[in-house]
Amino acid sequence: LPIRASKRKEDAMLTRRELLKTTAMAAPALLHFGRSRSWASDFPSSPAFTPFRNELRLGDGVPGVVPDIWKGRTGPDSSWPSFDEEQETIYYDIEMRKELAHILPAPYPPTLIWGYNGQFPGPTIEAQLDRRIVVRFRNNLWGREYRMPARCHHNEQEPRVDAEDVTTSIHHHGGHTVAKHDGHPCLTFGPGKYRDYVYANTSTRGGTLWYHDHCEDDTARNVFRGLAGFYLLRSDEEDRTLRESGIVLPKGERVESGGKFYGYQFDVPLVIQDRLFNADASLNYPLLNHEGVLGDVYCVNGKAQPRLAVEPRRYRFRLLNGSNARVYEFALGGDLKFLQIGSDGGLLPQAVLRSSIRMAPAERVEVVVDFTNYSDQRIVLYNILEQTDGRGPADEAGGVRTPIMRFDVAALCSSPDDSRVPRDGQKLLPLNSEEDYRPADAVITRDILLHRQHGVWVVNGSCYDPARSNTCPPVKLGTTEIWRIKNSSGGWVHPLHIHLEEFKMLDRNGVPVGLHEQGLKDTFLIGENETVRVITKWRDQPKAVDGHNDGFYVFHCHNLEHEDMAMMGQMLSVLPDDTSPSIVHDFMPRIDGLTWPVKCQEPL
Amino acid sequence: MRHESVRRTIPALVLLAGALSAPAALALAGEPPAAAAVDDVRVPSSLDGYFPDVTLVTQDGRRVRFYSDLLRDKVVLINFIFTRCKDLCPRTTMNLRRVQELLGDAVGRSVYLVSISVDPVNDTPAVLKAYADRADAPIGWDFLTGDQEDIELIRRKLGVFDREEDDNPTLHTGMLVYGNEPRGKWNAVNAMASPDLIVRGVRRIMDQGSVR
Repeated sequence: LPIRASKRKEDAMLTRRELLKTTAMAAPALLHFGRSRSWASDFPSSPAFTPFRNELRLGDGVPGVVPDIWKGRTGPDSSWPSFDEEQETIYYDIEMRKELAHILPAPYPPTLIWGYNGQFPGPTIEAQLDRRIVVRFRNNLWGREYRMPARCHHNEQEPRVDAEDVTTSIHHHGGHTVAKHDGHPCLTFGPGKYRDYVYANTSTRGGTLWYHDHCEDDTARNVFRGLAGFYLLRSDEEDRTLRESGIVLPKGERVESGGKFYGYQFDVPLVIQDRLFNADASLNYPLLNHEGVLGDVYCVNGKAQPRLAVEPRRYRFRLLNGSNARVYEFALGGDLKFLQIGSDGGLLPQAVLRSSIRMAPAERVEVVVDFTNYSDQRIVLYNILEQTDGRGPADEAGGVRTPIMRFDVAALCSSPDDSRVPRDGQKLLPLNSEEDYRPADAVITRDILLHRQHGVWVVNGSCYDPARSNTCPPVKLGTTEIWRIKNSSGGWVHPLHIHLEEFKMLDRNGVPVGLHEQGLKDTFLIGENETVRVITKWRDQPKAVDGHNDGFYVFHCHNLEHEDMAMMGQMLSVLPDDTSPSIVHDFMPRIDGLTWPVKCQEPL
Repeated sequence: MRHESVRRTIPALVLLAGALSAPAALALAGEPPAAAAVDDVRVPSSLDGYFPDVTLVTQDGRRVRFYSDLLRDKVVLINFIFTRCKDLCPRTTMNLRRVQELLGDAVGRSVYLVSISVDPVNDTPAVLKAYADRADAPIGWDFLTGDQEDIELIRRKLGVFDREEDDNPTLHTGMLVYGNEPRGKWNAVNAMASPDLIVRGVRRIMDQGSVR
C-alpha cells in the first residue's frame, strides 16, 4: 500500500489539477509524524510545493566555484604540504559546517544542511589535468543548537538541535589519487580537525568528477545531508585536439560576479539528488531504512525542482546522479534528445544521440542539448523510471513522468553559437591509450560476487573488513586486469564503484556494451543476475613527488545504504617491482594511521 | 564543562530567542561549540514515538517493555536469533560475545545488548536462558521472547525484513542494528562484521555529541 501511495505522489506531479490538489494537502502533511508506520522503509511524504518556483541562476547561485587561496612552489605556510618543483601547486581551503540552505521554495523556511563551505551541494572544484592541487578540508561539523531566522515557520522559541559531531573522510570520486588522499573510509577526522588532500589530477583525460563524504558507517547520512560537490577536471590540450578535428563543445564565457567565479555560461554541471523533508523543511533521513533511501523531492544543484533560464543554443550539461539509492532515466520534453558526449571518466570515443539516459547513483553523463529551435519555450527534464524502494527501479522505463527541472528558453541568444558538435555515432575523442584495455594483456581476471545472505549484503561471501584485502594476489601497478562483477542478489541492483582507476567496460552478460558505455567509467550499474566485465591498466603516479598508488583502496556498492552496511571490499595495490611474498602483505600497514594487520582473502 | 553548559544553554536560549526580534540567519547557541553527553540531553528526533512499546519476556522471565525498558535513554545493540538456527546464529552470537568483551565494563552500564527470538513459540524463556548461559552472556545482554506479532512489528520497525519471502526467519539473523536512543542515532551492520569494526561504530555513536 505505501508503495502505491508513493507512485500516486509521483503521478500527482503530472497534471496541474493533480498538482493543485497536492498543494492543498500541504497542511495535513504536517500531521504525518503522528501516523504509525509499520515498515521502516515506508515512504514518508515530504511537504508539497509547486515545481519550478526555484530558480537556478548562474552568477549568484549554488554551487559556484571555490576560489583558490594560494599558488606556489610551497604552501601558504609550513603546515601545508609543499612540492618543490617548477610547476606551481594550487591551494584551496574548504570548511565543512552546518548552514541554512534554501532548498524548498518560499514560503518554506531554509533547511539546515551539512555542507562543504556550508553549501548544498558543495562548491565546484575546477582543476586542470596534470596540474596538482591541495585542498585543506576543515571539519567544523559540531553538534550544537541552532536558532532559526525569525521569518521561519519553525517555532523560533525552540532552537533546532543538531547534536551530532560529524566524523568525515573525503573521497575524490573518479580521481587517480594516492591512497592516503583518496578518502579511505577508515581515514576519518572529526570536528576541530583538518586533513590536507593532494590531488595530482593524473587521469588520462578531463572529466566530471565529484567529491563526497566516505566515512565508515555514515556515508549515506552524511551525503544525504549535503556533503557532496562537483570536481571538474579540464584539459586545454583536449580542447585543442577536439578543435583540430572540427569540434568545439559549448562553453561560453566565464561567469563572474562580485569578483567570484561561478563557472561557464554554456557548460553547466547539474547534480540530481532526491531528498525527503519534514513538514518544517528540515531534512528527514530515515535511519532505519537499510534498503536504500529514496526521496520524493528532486533537487538539482540544491534547489527543489528548479527552473533554469537558457538561450536558444547548444548547452553542455554534466549530469551527476548524486542520490543515495535512486536510479533515474532522464528524458526531455518537446521531442528533444540528448547528444551524449561523456560518461564517468570524460568524453566518449563517439557521440551518441539518445532519447533517454539511465543513470545509477554516482554515475556521470555529459550531454549536449540543442535548444536552438525552442525559442520562448519551456522544456522539462523528466525522470521516466519508476522506483518505489531501495532495491532497484522498474525493469522498463515509462511508468512515471516526474518533472525534475525546467529549462526556460529565451527568445534570442546573447551571442552567436560558435559550438560545433559531432552527429550521432561520429567520432569525438578516442581513448588516449586504447592499448591499455586489450583483454589479451590481462594478467588476471578477478571475480567479484555481489550477493545477499541472511538478509545482509556480502561481497565474495563476506562483508567489508578493514583488516582484509579482497584482492589476492595484490593488484600490481602497471599490469592489466579484468574484473568480472556478478550480481546474484535476486531483486536488487547494485551500482558498483571501484576506486583508484577508470575502467573500460567490455560486456554485460557477454553482450558488448553500447556506444554510451564505451568511454571510461568508475561506477557500473549491475542489474539483477547480470555479469559485467570491465578492464583497466593500473597506473602509478607519473611523478615521484606525488608518491605512489600502492596501498589500500576500496570498491563498493554506491547505493549508500548498502555501502554503510559494509557491502564493500578492499584491494591492496603494490608497486611493479614489489616481489615480497603475499605473507608479507598480510602484515604490512600501507596507509597513514592504518596499523592493523591485513589478511588476504582467497578469491572464490 | 561543556556538558553542563548545554543544559543551561537550552532554557536560556528559549528566553533569548523570544527576546530578539531579528536574530541572525544562523546563530550559534554559544561559543565554544556546545554539546552534551549522551545521557544528559535528549535530542528531538523524528524517531520520537516511532518504536513500539510492546511487552517482551527476558530469559529470566522478566516482563519488559521494548521501548521504555530496552531502548529509552540507552545505547543498544539489537539482533535477531532463534535457538533452533544451526547455521548462522551460533556464529553471530559468538561474534557479539567478542563485541561485548571489547566493550568491556560499558556493557550493562552505558551499552546494552538485546537478542530477540524470531521463533518465540519454541524459544521460551527457559530455552533462551540455556542459550544465554551457553553464550556466557553477562548482565546487560538480554535474550527475549514474546508474542510473534509484537516481534514482527519490532523487526520491521528496525528495518530488518525482506520485501519478498519475509517468512523465512534465517533472512533476519544477519543484521545487527545499533542505536543511541536519546540522540536519535541509529545504524545497522552485518552481524558477522569484524568485532573491531562493530565496536568502532558503537563507540562513534556513543561519542557523537560529546566533545573530546
